[in-house]
Amino acid sequence: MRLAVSRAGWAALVLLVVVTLSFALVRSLPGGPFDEQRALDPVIRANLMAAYDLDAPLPAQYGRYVLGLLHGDFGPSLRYRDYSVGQILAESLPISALLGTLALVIALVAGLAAGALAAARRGSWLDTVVMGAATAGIALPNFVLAGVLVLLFSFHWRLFPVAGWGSPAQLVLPSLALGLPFAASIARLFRAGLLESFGEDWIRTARAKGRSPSGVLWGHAARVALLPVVSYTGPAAAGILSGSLVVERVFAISGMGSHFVDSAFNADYNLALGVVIVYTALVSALNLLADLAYGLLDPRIEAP
Amino acid sequence: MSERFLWHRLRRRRGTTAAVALLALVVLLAFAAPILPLPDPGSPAPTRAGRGPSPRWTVGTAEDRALAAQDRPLAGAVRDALFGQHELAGACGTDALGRDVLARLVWGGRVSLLVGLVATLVSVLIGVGWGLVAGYVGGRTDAVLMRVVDLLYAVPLLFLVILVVALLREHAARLAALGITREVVLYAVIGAVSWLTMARIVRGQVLSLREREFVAAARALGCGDVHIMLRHVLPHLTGIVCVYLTLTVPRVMLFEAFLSFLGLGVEAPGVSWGILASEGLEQLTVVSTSWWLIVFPGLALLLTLTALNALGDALRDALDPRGSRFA
Amino acid sequence: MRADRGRLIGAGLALGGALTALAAWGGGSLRAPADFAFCNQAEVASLDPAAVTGVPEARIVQALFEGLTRQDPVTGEPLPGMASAWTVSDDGLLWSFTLRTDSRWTDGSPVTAEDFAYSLRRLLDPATHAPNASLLWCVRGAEAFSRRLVAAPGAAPIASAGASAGASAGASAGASAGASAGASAGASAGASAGASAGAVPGAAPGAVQEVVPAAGEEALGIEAVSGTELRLRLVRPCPSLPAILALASLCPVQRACVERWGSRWIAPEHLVSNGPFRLVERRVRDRLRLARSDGYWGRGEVALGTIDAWAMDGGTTQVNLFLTGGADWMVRPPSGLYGALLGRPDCVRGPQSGLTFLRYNHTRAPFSDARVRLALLLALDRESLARDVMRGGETAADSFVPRGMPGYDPPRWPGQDVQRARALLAAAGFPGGAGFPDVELLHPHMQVARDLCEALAAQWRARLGLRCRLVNQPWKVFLDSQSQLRYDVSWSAWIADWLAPETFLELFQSGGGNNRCGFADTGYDALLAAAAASADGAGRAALLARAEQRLVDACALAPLHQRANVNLVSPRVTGFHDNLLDVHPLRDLGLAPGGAP
Repeated sequence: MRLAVSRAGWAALVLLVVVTLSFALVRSLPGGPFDEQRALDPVIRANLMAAYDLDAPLPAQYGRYVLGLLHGDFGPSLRYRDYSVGQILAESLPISALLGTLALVIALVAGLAAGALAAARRGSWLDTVVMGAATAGIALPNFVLAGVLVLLFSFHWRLFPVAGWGSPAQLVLPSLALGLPFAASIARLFRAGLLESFGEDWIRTARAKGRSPSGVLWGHAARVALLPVVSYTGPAAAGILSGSLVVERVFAISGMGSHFVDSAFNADYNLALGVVIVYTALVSALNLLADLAYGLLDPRIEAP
Repeated sequence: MSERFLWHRLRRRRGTTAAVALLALVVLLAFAAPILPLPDPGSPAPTRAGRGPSPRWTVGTAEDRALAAQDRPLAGAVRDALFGQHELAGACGTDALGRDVLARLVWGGRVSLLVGLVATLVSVLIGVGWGLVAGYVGGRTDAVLMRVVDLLYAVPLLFLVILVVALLREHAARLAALGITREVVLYAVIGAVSWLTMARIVRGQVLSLREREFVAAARALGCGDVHIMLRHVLPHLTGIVCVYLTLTVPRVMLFEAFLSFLGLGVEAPGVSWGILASEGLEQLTVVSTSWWLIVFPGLALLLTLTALNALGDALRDALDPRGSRFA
Repeated sequence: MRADRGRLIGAGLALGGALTALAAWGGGSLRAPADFAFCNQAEVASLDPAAVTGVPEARIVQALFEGLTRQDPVTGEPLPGMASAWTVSDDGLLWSFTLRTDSRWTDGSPVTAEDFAYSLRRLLDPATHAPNASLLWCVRGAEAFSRRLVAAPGAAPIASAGASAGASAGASAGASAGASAGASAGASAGASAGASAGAVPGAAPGAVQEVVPAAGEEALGIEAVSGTELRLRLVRPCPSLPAILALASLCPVQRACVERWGSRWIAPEHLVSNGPFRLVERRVRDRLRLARSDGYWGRGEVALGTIDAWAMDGGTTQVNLFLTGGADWMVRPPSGLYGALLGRPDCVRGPQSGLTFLRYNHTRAPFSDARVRLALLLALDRESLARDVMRGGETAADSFVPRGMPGYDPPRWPGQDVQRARALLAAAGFPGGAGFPDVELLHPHMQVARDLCEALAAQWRARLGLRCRLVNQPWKVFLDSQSQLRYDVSWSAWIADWLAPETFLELFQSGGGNNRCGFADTGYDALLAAAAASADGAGRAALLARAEQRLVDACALAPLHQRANVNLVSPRVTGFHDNLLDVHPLRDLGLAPGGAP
């Protein structure tokens, strides 16, 4: 309980620092949100800046922004004039959340299965193939992987749609592209952990007591071998967040990642800040979850 | 431990020799790029656009020769002496503008490796310095420094990096006047993102090294703290720094590819593997895949990064006192 | 151990349940596919006609709303829209539009001239801060009305910087009839110097204040004489007015809807529109769904029942979506894919009323020297650039105003002449390129621009011995750099919104916002002003040709190629015609019976 509270306080501090840093960075971006191919009349531009509260001195803008945040108001989007940032985030957060969660699930399931398989059949061709694939997975940029997946499953065997979001078929390729690189890392970690714990005394005891090999693996060795995997989940989740920037672009998914890149290039200050804030909050929450899970799994660690 | 023993331990792992050999080859090719008999990587040649791999040993065009001679007269002279007017064209195909893919791969490798190396060095510098000070000084300084690291871990640095790079592009003119080019900005920014783990690990090592006898002896002899940190503690960190250096370079190169995909990486006419891979992706359509545009850069990245990872793992196992028994 | 297993199973079930809930929340709407789907290049910045400037926005707005006129799908010229007929006085200053009586808003109310009067006033209202308000500044009193600084609601009014001494403004809290006393500096037509003083307190969203002119200003020349007749009084002749009225910014909005819902009036559940389609659904950066409107006068001519407008950015992704049947129309595929796509029967191409050119920074040496500018132009093989680098059917430009403008024959620019280019460069003091500083070639982060600039740099290097430094910037930064004159030579593109040479020639007016190159020539400005005041078509064209000749003589820019339209259109689509303006109103598109491609 105390841990959770101190973590929450810590997260709030992090959020404040992030907001301030990003605000400073973003407001110093040049190019203005209102420049189009055809120049704006200076008077109209002045009116626009005033209407969006962009002509006040920076500290005043910052103050008003933070106050708005406390009320849950992220401000209007400067590029999509019909929307407020909160509305855009509300529309895109579920999409990114679903994509990210599916990717994480794929990473865990595929990674754990592959790692266990490779460890159980250590030294065989299966081990080599699986570890070879895992090595490739961590050495390729994820957009190359996405391209290969699209080439095979959308062009060659017309199994899945090329882009978009909304139907179940459109969930498959993006989640795979996003999750497989992390499955590779998890497979390597899990395999190494399993192999290490296979030599431990208490494993030999379990074998001596007559438990089957798979029972030994999943019942005993896995619990300890999962520890590095669990502590990797934090960085993996952060990596999935950043990887989503690429995957959402390749598959034209209107999630928060693509909004962020778009807003950074279009000087849509409020949306960029909004996305950073939401991501920071997410990362902090995920780190907290990972710590709790770590405590749950390792019997040697006191539960919080 | 002696170098021979280290090398012996390294060779015990499968594939380490191959990895080292591959890396040596890649570095050699990248270094020797100006004297290799390849077409100019940047000049468009519309008549040869979009061809698949079809290696030809031909005579280069006059315009290409003029360009190469202008840029690097010495290298051009060496190349002419070795290969005359000939060049190997189309070995990996050409892209949509007719530029030779192999040439772009070699020159791109130069840039990618350079970015990887320099950015990693930046992160090593920051990380080691941070961890060293935190671990050695201890107490409140240590607490503050490590709290900052914790804070930065929780921050989605990537997004700030994207914002920073987008911002600094605007100030490019002003920065260039100070001698800070776009590449330098990239090195600094990418390096600044990757140092956190290094700091933590170094701090851990220093904490244990601090209690060793040689440190007490040096203090007894009256050496200053800075002297002890740099002359006595730092050399013991070489091993672990080497390991993480080798393991960070692939991460940094992937990050550079990521930035290139978003359009924030190296500027045209510069080439890098990341730019090549994203260009290849842009050419991937149902009707014409131009597979060579994505397969070759992908392979280059795959092989180089795998070799680096293998080497790093081998180093880590070799230097690990517990000695991993598992390949 | 059993407790552990129980824990694991419980965790597994919780995870499964969470995933299902997540899938329902994040899965997006599952609707039956629309009759017709197209890739609209980008998410629309807004659906409010007064706020839009871009082409993707215009496509949707012109499908949802219809102005007094509409664009002909074959030529792009204006056709009767909400106005069934119009007349113009002899001096060209009084236009009278007769509205049709058989068209309704989507809520059933009739479309009247008061709706148009309200909408046009709203476009000009400074509180609306419409970027395209200048389209209507030919109307009497419009420019002075638009160019007032608006105070934020509740704050003290702001006096504009260009006010003459003695300007004072009284603040009033109310939104309507908020006239304030103030001296006005005369606003001259066409020149951008001096805005009129007179602060207007911030209006409530949507409410348009009564236009009460300050002392010395003219009344706004927009008048709804009756329910079906609208009169526009102009300050200068504007033969292109019907073409301008067909544009998206000039579409009408319903007063009741805007005033009731404020800034949320464009949401799908509130939007009231008068065009061939109505808005069904909108998901930001995903899609827009439109459905045929029953109140529209031409509903018999609208063939499509439902339309999906995809709002994705990636060019290759859009092409692949088209090729796999997910879209029936795709605008402008990436030039890197031309090799694979242009030969296909479903690729529709043609010339465009647009130009790609190079801006020179006239304030920086050595580009302030006309010989240098001319040398850089003459050294280029523009045919090769258009044919081999652009490859979309672009033609090398030999004029600034693109060919095809009705009634206008532009003067010719010189063609390729490398010898003369070298001689000019030597005469300017840089024989063989020696001593010439690195040319900073600015371009936005677009593949087309990058490829072209790389080719340009290669040509200048090979032929003149000049080195170039390519500066690649994101779009907003690029525009800012151009405006701040932070470049040597810059890639530029300009596309006409309607077919009149002024749309191009106004670019090079001194001090104009779109100038962005530092070119200033009083003779040029005088010729343009004289043309604007002329009501005679032939005389106007002659004056404009003389103005363009001045650009040729000074080599103010380097025209590269006339742009080309490239559209990927499924063979089952009917009613699609290539035209100079590249307008393809959704109302005129249809699908061949049978449906199979």
